[in-house]
Amino acid sequence: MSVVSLLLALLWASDILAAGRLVQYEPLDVEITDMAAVKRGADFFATHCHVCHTMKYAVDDPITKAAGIVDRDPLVLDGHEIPDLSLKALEYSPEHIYTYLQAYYVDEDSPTGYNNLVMVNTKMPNVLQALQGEHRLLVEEVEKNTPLPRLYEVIYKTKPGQVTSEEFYDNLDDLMHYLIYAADPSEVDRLSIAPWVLSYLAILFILLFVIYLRMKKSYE
Amino acid sequence: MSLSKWVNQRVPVSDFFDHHLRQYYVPKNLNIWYLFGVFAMVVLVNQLLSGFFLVMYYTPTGDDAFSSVEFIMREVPYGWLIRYLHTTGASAFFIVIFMHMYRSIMYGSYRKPREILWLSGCILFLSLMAEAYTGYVLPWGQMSFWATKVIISIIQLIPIGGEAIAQWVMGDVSVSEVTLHRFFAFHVILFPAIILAMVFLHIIFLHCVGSNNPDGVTPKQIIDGVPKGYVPFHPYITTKDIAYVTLFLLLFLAVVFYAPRMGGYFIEAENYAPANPLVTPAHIRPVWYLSPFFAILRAIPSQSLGAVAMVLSLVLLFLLPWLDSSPVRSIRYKGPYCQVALGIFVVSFVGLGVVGNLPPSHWVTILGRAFTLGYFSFFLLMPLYSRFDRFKRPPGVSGL
Ligand code: HEM
Repeated sequence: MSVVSLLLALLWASDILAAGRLVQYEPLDVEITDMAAVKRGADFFATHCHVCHTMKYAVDDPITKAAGIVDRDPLVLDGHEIPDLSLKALEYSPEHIYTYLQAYYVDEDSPTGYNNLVMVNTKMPNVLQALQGEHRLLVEEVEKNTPLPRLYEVIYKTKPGQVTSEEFYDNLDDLMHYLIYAADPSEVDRLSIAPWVLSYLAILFILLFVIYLRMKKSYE
Repeated sequence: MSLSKWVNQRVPVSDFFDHHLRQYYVPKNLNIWYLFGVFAMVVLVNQLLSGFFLVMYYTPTGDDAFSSVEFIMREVPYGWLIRYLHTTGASAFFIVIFMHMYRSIMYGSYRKPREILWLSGCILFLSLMAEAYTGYVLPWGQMSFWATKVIISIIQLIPIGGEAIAQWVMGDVSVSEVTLHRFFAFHVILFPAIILAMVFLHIIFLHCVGSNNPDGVTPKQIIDGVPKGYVPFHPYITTKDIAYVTLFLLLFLAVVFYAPRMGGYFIEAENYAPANPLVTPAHIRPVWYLSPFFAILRAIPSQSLGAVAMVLSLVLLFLLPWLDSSPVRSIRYKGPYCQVALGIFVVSFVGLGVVGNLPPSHWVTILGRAFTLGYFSFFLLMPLYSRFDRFKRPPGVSGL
């Protein structure tokens, strides 16, 4: 019976991801049909993320291939497999990943030297630090407040990176294009087919409805 | 001799079509609530066809199930369309069926002489839940796996035989890929066969007694062998149904193209991680159409009583024809008690669905209990409030 209780309790357990996060998600607007951004994102992934992460389900995709992302076994860190990212944009929300990558701050107590406001005590090192620069907390400690604060309300930049903040956000935006695309490439096809199919059905419906009304009249 | 004559001398096909289409009469005042039956048939065909193509590529083994689904989504030409038609169809089925059942409840379609028709519908509803649940397991994601564990534990709660049934359904000492393979068999053979047979019977039962209508009255007056205000199924209803089915497909495909995951309600985010028996997901919640029944389970403090209440909430549907003792069928002519009760029922059912998807809290518990009470009161108090209610006499009839 204890297993049952555990499972039933779990069924209603609140979202630990949401509970662990200390800041609001940054707004993100991705136009998946912007293939140039998807390609730039794939290149960014190949340079900065593929060192550790794999894209298992996307390796046969032409854009993924062109960026030089290859099929290989996942790396293991401290006995844990480093997660595959091909479906992560759907498993977590894109906003989650987008904000996560911006939310590192200097934390001397952490083994990697940095901590994160979206996934507290994350095992992933601050790999984009050279690019982005460094942030520190504005406050002594971030409390779990409601409503959650925005990122800029709790951290500030202490060291510039290789690119400006604007360029860095653009890079992340491209990366999100790629991760969303790679998680479900069908979106591109779906959006291009939809208007045709739906307008066909709309016209067909109007015609069939007129036929119905005329038929109905003959029964008055 | 013409071919049709040749065939008709052997099998009376024309007679059959006359009997069920051209000379099958239905009330002219059937409104849009009466479209959901044909919508359900359309979705059923969609599920069978898309399912047929999915099975060509899907592999029901622990190692390959998850990646075979991704293979369908990416490598199979239009595989994504096939899969999204199937997943969206599952949710559409329940939207349509909830409307269909609500219509029957509103207009008293379960009452004499349609009790057997209603019972066949109730069996269909249970079969659909079983079909949807076994299908949900097949992609073998985290939610598939953990939801299976939860449901199996609920089965184990059944006092007599629960343990044995759970064992047989799992085929193993705990949920494993043996279970997955078994669920595949249930999902593609057993439940579809039951559903098809029941839909066939459902239509036969319907044609034996004919359709009810929003007024819930049967005309006494017959003109030229046709009840007053009735129209032939063909061409009247066929033309109407074809037009509205097109509209339905338009809405359905708009979802398939623009929002197939429906923000995690039609395909849950957690199911994009492969099943992992060692890692419990952070957030488990029931799929939306099972949510009301889970909310009932959770509302009762004792787990075994909760499971009993959940079963009871479904059993009560079967008893509905014998709980209603109003002299009229349709809510249009029932009195204030019945109208308020129906309102409470709708609020409770929708409320249970919402509450069942929320993480636990003080208010969720309180609301869950209130809605559970509302749901059960609608059924259990019906013999009383429907008997002592006022009612209006429908035009042109004396009673049921
Ligand atoms: C696969 C699922 C189902 C299919 C394909 C189906 C199909 C149909 C069709 C085509 C009709 C005639 C058109 C209409 O009245 O909408 C009908 C009528 C009816 N169905 Fe269903 N049905 C299904 C499930 C159910 C369920 C779950 C119930 C109730 C628990 C139910 C109860 C009824 C009743 C009572 C009628 C007669 C309604 C009236 O004449 O007012 N059906 N069904």
